[in-house]
Amino acid sequence: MIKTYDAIIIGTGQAGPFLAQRLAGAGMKVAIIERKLFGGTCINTGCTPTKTMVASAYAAHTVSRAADFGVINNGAASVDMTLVKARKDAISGQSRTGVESWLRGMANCSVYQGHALLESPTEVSVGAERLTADRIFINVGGRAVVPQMPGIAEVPYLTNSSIMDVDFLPRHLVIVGGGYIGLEFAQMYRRFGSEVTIIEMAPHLAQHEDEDVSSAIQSILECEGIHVRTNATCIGFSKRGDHVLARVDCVDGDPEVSGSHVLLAVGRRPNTDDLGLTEAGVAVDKRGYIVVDDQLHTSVPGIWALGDCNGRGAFTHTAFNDAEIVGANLLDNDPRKVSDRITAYALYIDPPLGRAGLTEAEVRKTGRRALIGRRPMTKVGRAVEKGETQGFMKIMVDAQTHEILGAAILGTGGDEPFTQSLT
Amino acid sequence: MYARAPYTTIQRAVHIHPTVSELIPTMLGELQPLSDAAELRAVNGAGGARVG
Repeated sequence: MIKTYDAIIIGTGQAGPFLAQRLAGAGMKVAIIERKLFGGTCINTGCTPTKTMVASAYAAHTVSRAADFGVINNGAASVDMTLVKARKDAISGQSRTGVESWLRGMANCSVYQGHALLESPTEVSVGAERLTADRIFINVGGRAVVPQMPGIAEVPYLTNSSIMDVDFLPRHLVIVGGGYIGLEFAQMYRRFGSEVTIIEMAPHLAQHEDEDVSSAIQSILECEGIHVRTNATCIGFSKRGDHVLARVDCVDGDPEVSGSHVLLAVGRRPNTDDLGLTEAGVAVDKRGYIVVDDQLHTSVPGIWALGDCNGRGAFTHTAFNDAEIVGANLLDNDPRKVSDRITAYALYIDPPLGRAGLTEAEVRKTGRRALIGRRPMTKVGRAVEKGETQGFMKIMVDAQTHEILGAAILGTGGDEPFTQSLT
Repeated sequence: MYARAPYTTIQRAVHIHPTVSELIPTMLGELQPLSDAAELRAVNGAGGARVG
């Protein structure tokens, strides 16, 4: 028997529960489907657990430089990875059960667990169950890319998901990919006590950032003893005993890096390959992202796509905004759109990078007359007082309208209200 | 940025001391044309600034 709903939401990542609440609150009969962990990437393998672990790493780092602050610790401090993981699991788990109980207790909302498949533009199956609705919201998120590098199938590797199960200290963690995920794990594990090498194919870490930002990030990481190998083309892997050898074709340095563990952090891909999208006529781009318009409609009327799977943002805050946009258009007659959104995000190394609007390179590319202000954190009293003077900040404004075009704050507090006030 | 307000709005606001935010007005008071920015960087060494 087919069960009829007003709306079906596939996926309980950030956008899903909030949209469910909005629609159910408006009197719609809602079904929401989760195939694995309630709360999606953010709560289970993304923001929540990683920032929890970043906090443990910060504590370890602070202890290691306690003498800088006049605090003498004569005992031997050490990091117990089972306790670090237990703290992470507790905080992440609390969020996960919170989302699940919120959804299960929500009026007008039914929860289904299992893999959803589009049977038609208005029908979804979950195992033996069949559901139908005139409105279907796809919110299926993404996962780590496992690149087809030579030898990858012959060696054990970790991704940002499987590293969540690690409760020991890798002797030497080799991280493939110098993007945001790779950099956060690199500094975290270095501070826990691992030797860490980052292998990046591009000439710079965090390659979408301005070069001055990238090079300052590299300095911060190298100061802590992290090895950075950029311009590393032709990467391949092999096993030697219980070690993994990574071949790197760099201009400088050893052609091989021998590590105890490998973390792949070379990007994300959307979970859109096993949903029946093609059969339902939902268009995806060549990377698998669902094609959406400015109000998040897909190519099929009555089907929307929200969150990481639409390629319009890869953050919890953009996913939440997607839910706001869809809700406003459907329920409030308020034509909010994705292109109203100003880019804003943070990289949670320590000190963090907060970014808003355009980069300096992007401002230059527009060809407009612009002004720029810069300030090293060594010239910020609060940073000096905290003993955290690494990094710098800069801001770009339009020379004529005086509008703020973009800002980057790589420094203590760079992720907080300070960056918010600029957006 | 969402308000599309001129930067002078933030520049004229009174910020809490001591915070990182309080230096935003100072930074905005030292704006240079973007085309000259490369030279500015060479002068203040902002890109690589850190504690030794």
